[in-house]
Amino acid sequence: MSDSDAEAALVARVVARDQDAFAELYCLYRRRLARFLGRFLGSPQVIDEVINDVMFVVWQDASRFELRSKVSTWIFGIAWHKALKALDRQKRDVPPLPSPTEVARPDDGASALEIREWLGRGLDGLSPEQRLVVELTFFAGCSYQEIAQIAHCPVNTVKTRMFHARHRLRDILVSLDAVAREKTP
Amino acid sequence: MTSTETANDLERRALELLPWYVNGTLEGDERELVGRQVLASLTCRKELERLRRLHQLMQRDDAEAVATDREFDRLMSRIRASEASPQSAAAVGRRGFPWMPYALAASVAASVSALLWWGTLGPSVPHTYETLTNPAPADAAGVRLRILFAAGVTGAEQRELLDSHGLTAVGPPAEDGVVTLAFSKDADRAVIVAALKGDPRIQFVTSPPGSDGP
Repeated sequence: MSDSDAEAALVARVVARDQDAFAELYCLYRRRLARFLGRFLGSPQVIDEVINDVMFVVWQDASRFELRSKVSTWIFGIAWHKALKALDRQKRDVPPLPSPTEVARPDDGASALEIREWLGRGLDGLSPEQRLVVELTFFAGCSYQEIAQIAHCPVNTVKTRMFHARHRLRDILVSLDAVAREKTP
Repeated sequence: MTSTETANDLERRALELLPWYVNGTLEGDERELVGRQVLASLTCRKELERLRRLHQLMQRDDAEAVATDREFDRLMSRIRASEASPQSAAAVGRRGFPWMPYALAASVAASVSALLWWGTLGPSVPHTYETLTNPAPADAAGVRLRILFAAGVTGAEQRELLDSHGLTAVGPPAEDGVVTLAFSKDADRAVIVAALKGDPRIQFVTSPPGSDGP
């Protein structure tokens, strides 16, 4: 049985109001959602609130889920919708983010953690829509068709957003290449 | 269209699809196209390496440990409060579940897989079946917990942990590793739950429907 089938079976049990199944689904997604939402929402408290909202909708709307998409696509779609709402609420309080070109490249001796932090700051310079596409592709492992479902947009829009995201990240991508070369003996 | 233009066009399409070639979700003709272009085009190969590096960095899980139990309890409180409203239950009742037969079939398949998996432990992990699934204590009717062991906890460690709390597994683990446990009615449930929640070898503790807590 694939992971997708196992998750669909869990959702079937959630529809039947099986709290154990819901707990298992929560366990499966809590960490993934925290990581995913953490890319858009800074505060851990806000992330916890949004995860709570997402899983509340999962419980309430499990019977509406249809097997036309994967469970992960459905749940990430809810998470994205909730994240956008939370971003709207946060907008007034958040300082402007640096553009990727303003982010200084780490030293040659930078640790893997420093490189990831540097990359994170670069990703912060993308628009939420561009970042969604990058996160769902490289973190969540979604196909461009699944991303289109989650973002409620045509597949060509997904490709266009990825194109612009890569363009904005170009300096970082090239530098990642250079750092990797320098670290290779 | 000249042959040069066609080659450029193919390269452009391959470059556009590279992110999904890297994450392994590209299929069929598109996958073949990118594969061919990566072999033929230096630009594609360079971009592929960059995107692979980006993919590796973003795949690393640097999320901090999360207080799963506390947050889940909070969520369930919210759900219970919302379901105190009759509209909620009625709304659920009105909806049909057209996909339920498929999902139930998948659920049954998962249970069978779990049972088969459980039964195959014998030769390499002697006595695992007998030790973890001893019959529940005679006085344990209705006293149940469900737990998920953390990744990397061995069968021997699981047995030792359950024995130390007087717990007995009453069946094979579910498809995602959740184990249902029974314990004596005389045992202090709160103490056991607190001990399990504080044990790093346990990822999650919950109760079956209709039971108290944890």
